[in-house]
Amino acid sequence: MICQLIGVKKTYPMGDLTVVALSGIDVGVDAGEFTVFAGPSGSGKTTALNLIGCLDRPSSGQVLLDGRDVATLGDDALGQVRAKRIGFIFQSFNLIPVLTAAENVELALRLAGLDAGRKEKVEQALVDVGLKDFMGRRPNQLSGGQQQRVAIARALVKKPAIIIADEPTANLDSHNGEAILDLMRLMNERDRVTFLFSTHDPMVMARARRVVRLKDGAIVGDERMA
Amino acid sequence: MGFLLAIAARNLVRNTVRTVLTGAAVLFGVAILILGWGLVDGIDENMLRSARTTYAGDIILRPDGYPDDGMRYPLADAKPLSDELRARLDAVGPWTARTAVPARLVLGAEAQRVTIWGYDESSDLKIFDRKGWMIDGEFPVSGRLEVALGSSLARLLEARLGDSVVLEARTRDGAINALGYVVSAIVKSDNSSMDALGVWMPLSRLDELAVLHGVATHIAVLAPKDPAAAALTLTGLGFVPLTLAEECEDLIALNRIRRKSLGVIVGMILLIAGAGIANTVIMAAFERIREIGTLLALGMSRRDVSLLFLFEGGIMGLGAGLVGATLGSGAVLYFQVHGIDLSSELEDVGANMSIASMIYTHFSWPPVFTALGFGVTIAVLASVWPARLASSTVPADAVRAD
Repeated sequence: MICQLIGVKKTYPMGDLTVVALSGIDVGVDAGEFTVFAGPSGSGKTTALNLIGCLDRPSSGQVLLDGRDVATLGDDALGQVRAKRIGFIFQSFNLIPVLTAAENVELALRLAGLDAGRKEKVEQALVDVGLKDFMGRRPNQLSGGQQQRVAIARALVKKPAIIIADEPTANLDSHNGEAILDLMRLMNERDRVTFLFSTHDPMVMARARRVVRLKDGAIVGDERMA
Repeated sequence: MGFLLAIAARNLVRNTVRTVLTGAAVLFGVAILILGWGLVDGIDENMLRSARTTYAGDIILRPDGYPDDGMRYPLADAKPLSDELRARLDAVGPWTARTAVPARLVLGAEAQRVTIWGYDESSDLKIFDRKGWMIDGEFPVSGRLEVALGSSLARLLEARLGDSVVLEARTRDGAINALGYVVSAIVKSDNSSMDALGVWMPLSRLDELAVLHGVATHIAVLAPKDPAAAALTLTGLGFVPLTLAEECEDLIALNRIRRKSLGVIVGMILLIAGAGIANTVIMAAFERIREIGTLLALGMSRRDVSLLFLFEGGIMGLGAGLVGATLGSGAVLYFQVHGIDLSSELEDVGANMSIASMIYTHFSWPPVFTALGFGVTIAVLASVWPARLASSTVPADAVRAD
């Protein structure tokens, strides 16, 4: 199992109140999975993704990544885990606007400390997502779909243990959304890349191999598709 | 590190107008400091040059008790030069004796208080070569009843070459005497005080007017190598020797105050610049909160995020500082060659200041490096807090910020 949440609880202070985002959930993701965390807004799916992605720490419980509890790590160590083991794809693409497509992809390699054959890896990653001819373009010179492809290349290039995609099609039209999902599915099937999504989009759920349903901070369903 | 610097540099050109406006304060601060420093250095040089080339040489000697307050008649304390003093002066270097006599110059219905400088025709040019002076006409010679007038004095009295003037002065014994002279030269020297009040004539002619009995009020000596040591050998002989630096001490002290004032003003400009930079970097941090979150999510350390913003402040400070240093240095170098003409400004105050009306700035590297270093340091320091603010961003929230 690549990652596992064990008895994870996450609460946030909000004024005098305490909001419970996750109420002690247990869930794990195996290598090669194409899993969706589904649920309405406020269900806790993004919080769960943040914890698995080492972007946040649980209030209690364990977050295991490659069998190691990352909840106890310091900021810099967590940063290193993110840099080397986790790829991110965001709803709003989150490319660095002053960098070209190639430099955005290269940034992930630099931060992971992967210097060997960097240029070739960047080129291959952009070829894989169909952007061979767009390497020198900045994000503002790319369409939304192209930007998300750059984001996928950035996530893939360092060959992470898992790629976390937070509503990756939410800012795309249906045509581009489907194309992006097909691309990720292809990489999952061809290269055994592990993907973990959050979404409430039925189109994404229809392509998933496993759907974990959350509601009010608890897991209310876990279906594996054929 | 290079990649961070490249990102920082590119971030600065995202909003060029804001970057330029923010950097402008650093630019002006650095330029003003360099130009102001060059000007103050130039004034220092100017004052020393003015005194050296018009009345002091490297060492000036005045009689013991020579009045400096204008309350006593200077000739009362003037003394003849003893043989021993002459011998010691000869041992030090070239020298000349002058006698300054307060007098009244009358031209038609106009009259003006003046100082007559009686000079020794045989030695005066060896000490004061008059090369930087503008002399219209011929300097007076002892064979004729002629005088040279300072240019400001001539302008005030509307005196022209060939005009007849009358000089009234007290003799050393206290009698009032008056004689008529022809204006043979109008002189613009390196000294606006002398130009405003000065009348020149040979000592032999002044002796006729003021009956000097061989006394001198000023002895100027050339001793460029070690004037302080030379001055020591001239003490105790009825005259007080002062080196050029000692003679100009008050004016140089005044310039030190000017330099400090300049530092305070520029310091304030750069502090304002620092506030502007801090504001810009904070705005950049807030505007780019999602970018910062993304960098952190991708594994950039908080230290590197901090460095990114420090680099942005530093590059802005360095860029603006370099432009400011170039402009300031350019202005100093320009005025070093072409000078700044302060003739009209010195018309009113020149009578009290030994200073040439053309000020030449002085270029040197220390103020350039100091101003540049100060500008960059302020810019970097101003970025520290915004950088810390940016690096403390929570990535989970920041990656979804609008």
